[in-house]
Amino acid sequence: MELVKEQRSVKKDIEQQDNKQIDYDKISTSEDFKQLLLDKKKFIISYTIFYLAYSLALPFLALFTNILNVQVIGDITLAWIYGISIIFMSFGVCSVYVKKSAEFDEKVKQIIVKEGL
Amino acid sequence: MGWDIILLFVLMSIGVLFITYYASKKTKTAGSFYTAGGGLTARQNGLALAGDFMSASTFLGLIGAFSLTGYDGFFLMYGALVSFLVILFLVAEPLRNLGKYTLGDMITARFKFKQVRGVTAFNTIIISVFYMLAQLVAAGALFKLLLGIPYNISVLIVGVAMLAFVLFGGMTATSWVQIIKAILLVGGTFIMFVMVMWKFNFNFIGIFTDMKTATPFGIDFLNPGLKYKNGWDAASLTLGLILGTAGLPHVLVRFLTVPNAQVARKSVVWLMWIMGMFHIMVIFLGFGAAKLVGTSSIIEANPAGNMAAPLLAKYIGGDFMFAFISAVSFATILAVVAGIVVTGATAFSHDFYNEILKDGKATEKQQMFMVRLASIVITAIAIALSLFLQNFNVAFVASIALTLAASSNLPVILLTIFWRKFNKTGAIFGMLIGLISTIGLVMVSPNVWNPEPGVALFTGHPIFPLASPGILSIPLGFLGSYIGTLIGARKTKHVEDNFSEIIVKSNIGNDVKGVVNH
Repeated sequence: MELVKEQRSVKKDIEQQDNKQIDYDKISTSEDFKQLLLDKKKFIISYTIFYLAYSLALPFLALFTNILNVQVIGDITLAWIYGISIIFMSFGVCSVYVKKSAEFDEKVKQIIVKEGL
Repeated sequence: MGWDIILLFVLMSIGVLFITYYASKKTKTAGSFYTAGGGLTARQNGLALAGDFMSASTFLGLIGAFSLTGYDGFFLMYGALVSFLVILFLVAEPLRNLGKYTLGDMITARFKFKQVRGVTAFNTIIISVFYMLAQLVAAGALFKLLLGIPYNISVLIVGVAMLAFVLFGGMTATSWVQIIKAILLVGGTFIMFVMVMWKFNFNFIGIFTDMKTATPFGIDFLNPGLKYKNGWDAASLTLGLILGTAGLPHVLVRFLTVPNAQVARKSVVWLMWIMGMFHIMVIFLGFGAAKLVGTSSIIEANPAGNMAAPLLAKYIGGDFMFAFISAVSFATILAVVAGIVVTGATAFSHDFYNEILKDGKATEKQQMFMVRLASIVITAIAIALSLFLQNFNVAFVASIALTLAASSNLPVILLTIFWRKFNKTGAIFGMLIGLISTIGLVMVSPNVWNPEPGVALFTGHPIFPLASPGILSIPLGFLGSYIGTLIGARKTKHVEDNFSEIIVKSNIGNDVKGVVNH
């Protein structure tokens, strides 16, 4: 019984030590991590601006101008094509994100190895 | 209304409930999703997310909107899909990586104060009640159409039935309920889509030509502006929808049911495809309802168009299809409300009761009692409020809940993850100002005030011209967070900050700890 207790407390000590070793300030200021954040920021911000602008443009184009009321195929106007294209734009942006974040995953792995986490 | 329809509907409802019951038993042996740290696969979670999001307001409301307002249905619809891009790019992975159980847990991971937790929980409950309203209004309209009983009594019956479901079986099974329901809903929609297009000989171009003469609106039906005369109104609505989902507590909680950020990411991909396909079908179902059922019949059943889908089902597939679609809609309402009630009640019992009042020391039994009590109170409030909202389009009522989430939760979530200088006062200010400004603006909007007596709740001129407050209330939420942060920074010169930890964890993930303990 005593032994078990002792083992437990030793294990706890080790865990606590390990937890202390994660120096978040050090990681957050390391060059690799900063580079990762920078790359991520560039990617996320540029794409977010794109898909928000693309979708928020619709109400303005549709309700303040008449440029979308042009018939393209039969009686389908440009407005319908724009509206439906938002769905496909979403699919596209979504798959770009999946590809790009696989690259970021690789970089994260490298940081974990490098920082000895 | 023949008894055969009622019998079919009851049979199908029982079938749905039986599947739910079976799923809930299965879930219990697999352990609780939340405490297990999440064991759902990407596909399961994607379906469950779709289930959470494709509520009755989506299915009934959107088909109704396309059938009555033509092109303007788009403004109620597409924002939801884009909103999952916002979630994917900005929220899903950090949220999963910070690895907590409720939204309150996530925000207090950075600001360890009871006030912050309290405000977050309060917010969660308010948003949940609003979102529930939309479901209850839909349920009331559905039962009124189906059984011919008055709306008020329908809402009451449905509300009590839902509550019984949540109290006795729904607590642990929400995820499975959502998965099954999502399959039923998408399947039912697909069958209807094929049947409707059959009537139009699968001519996707010709159907547009047909629509020019199908409604009293003539060619205007196909052009933007039938409902939204004011572009700012549509833009405001769209903005609320695009940013709203990223702040909806019961959707965000879904990202805590998966093992890691990669699975969280993939589940959003699943969701996008399911919902994208669903949205395309919805457009044509709306057309089908307008042409086949007819504008006047749709308005007669419910002025806001909420019953267009069941009526269309009846037209193309007879009583059986009518009962099937009604039962699926009802299962949808049950499942979504179960999820929302559980999220709201958890915020109350976990955040308010256990963490704030009992310092995290409440027993399991006490917490279970509180969760049940909170479920009853939340449902009662929602039932009482929904009695006033019969003539609102349910997709619109849901859009108010989304705007609330976008104005009060989203600014605080984003700034917690991304802004180093953000502080406790900023978080509290942001949430409260977002919440108060949204509700305040709705109170003085054309939804509540109309110069003609009887059209809206009160007679008089609205002070705020737009029906959707998002375009003003969302920036106010961010502004509130910013001003609060400045005030907080002045009060205390230096506070201990764990932003480094937050930013490392949100980008690298929980893996850090796993590797360390090896």
